[in-house]
Amino acid sequence: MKTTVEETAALQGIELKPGRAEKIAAALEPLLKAPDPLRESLDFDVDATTYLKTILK
Amino acid sequence: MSDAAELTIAEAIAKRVSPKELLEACRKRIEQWQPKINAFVSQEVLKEGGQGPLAGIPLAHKDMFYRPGKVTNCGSKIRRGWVAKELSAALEGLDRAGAAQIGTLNMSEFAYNPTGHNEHWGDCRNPWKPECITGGSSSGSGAAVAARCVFGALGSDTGGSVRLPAAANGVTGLKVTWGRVSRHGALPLSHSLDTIGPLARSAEDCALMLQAIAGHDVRDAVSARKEVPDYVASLNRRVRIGISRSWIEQNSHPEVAKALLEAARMFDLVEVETPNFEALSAHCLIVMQSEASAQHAQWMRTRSQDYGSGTRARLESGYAVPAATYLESLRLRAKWLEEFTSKTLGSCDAYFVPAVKVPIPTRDATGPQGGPGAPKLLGEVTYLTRWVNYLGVPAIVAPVGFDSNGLPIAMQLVGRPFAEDALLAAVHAYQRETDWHRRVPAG
Repeated sequence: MKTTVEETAALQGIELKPGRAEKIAAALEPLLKAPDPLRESLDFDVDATTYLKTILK
Repeated sequence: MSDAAELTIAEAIAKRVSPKELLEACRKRIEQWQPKINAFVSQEVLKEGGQGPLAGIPLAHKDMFYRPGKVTNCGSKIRRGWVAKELSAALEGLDRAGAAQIGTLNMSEFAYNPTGHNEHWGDCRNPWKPECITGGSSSGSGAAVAARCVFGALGSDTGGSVRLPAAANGVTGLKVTWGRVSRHGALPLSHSLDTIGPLARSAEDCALMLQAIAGHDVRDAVSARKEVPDYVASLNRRVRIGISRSWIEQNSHPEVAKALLEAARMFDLVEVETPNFEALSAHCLIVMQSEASAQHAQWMRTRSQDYGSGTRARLESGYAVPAATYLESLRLRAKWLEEFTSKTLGSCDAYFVPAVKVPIPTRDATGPQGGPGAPKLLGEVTYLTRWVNYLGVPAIVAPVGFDSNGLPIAMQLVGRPFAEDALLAAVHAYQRETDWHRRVPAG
């Protein structure tokens, strides 16, 4: 994953400080794998703008 | 009148203390405190007081709210000396209410740090114990209000940046509903999470300040058209509070748990389900990192060496978050909001939880030289604030005691969207019966 982090940043024109890719990978992995009990029941038709309607209810 | 600086805004108005007297009292406090706490970036009178509900009340604000022709440094090297062209909507509201602005306040670089460390402008220091953090990113706002250098201050809250400084400095801070206060003319960090709110000496003072800044603004695309209630008139409404006592006992430091559970006895309580802090905080981090890194992308390509080490490290993280993951977090947001309002708040108006579940740590333990334990400690400090920003709901923080080290302990009440009035009423009722919010650090 370390290489992927470096390459992904480089593709966006961002040069990471030496030693950062490993730390980013270590911190990112638990975020990406964080369990979410609501994910499975998320309706297909929901998109990011659905939140706006919900908060204004 | 030697103690005019210790009045609340509401008291200063009721007692008809002259703006000149209030300003002189604040200036004495600033002279006394600034060398110790480094809360002010500038002490220039940027706006004289005028007529209105906050006539002549001396305020100062986090150095990220734009005023035409005036410098807004944003806690950074990159924007040091940058002169704004437009007036922020929040300052416009306070100007209209007659408030004075007597300076700009220290902050974390680009509002992207929860402790108040700042490599460019110097750390802001906690008036209760200068070796301890002020909390960030509205560090100067919390410290200046606590030291009674100003009567209130604006801050911004993207992951806890109003509430952490309010908690660490023992003042009252309000994180508003996303869309309640226009962000026009304020430094952006993460557009899905950014909010602007007041830090002051009491819930009543927060109500007075919120009244001046809340409302729809076409210049902020997500500004809500919801009617603005009369927050001061609503202060005496009855509010029911939800709590998970066992969660507080099992997950907070014993001194924090003791103070919180003692404070909770003042409310009309009902036991409720604990929100899923882990999942909500993870979503908040994904959204915040993605949006903040996108916001700063051009400077990160061309001027990365001009960021402080901590800020640069945080920004570097965001470029590795997959776009689909970021958008899935935003897709899930509505469902989590419904879950919170229907389950946790199903039988109450607000949810009661600590603002910070551990004692306020030192600057050394949490700063760039903090060592291997620093990330875990920072995670504990911010554990109970980020989840609120992901939901977009309002929350208020107020002092409820002190730990054995002499640092404030604070409660946090989290409410329904646009129900700031309920939160203000709950804390107002508490503050009528207690005096924690009137404690002032010894000069």
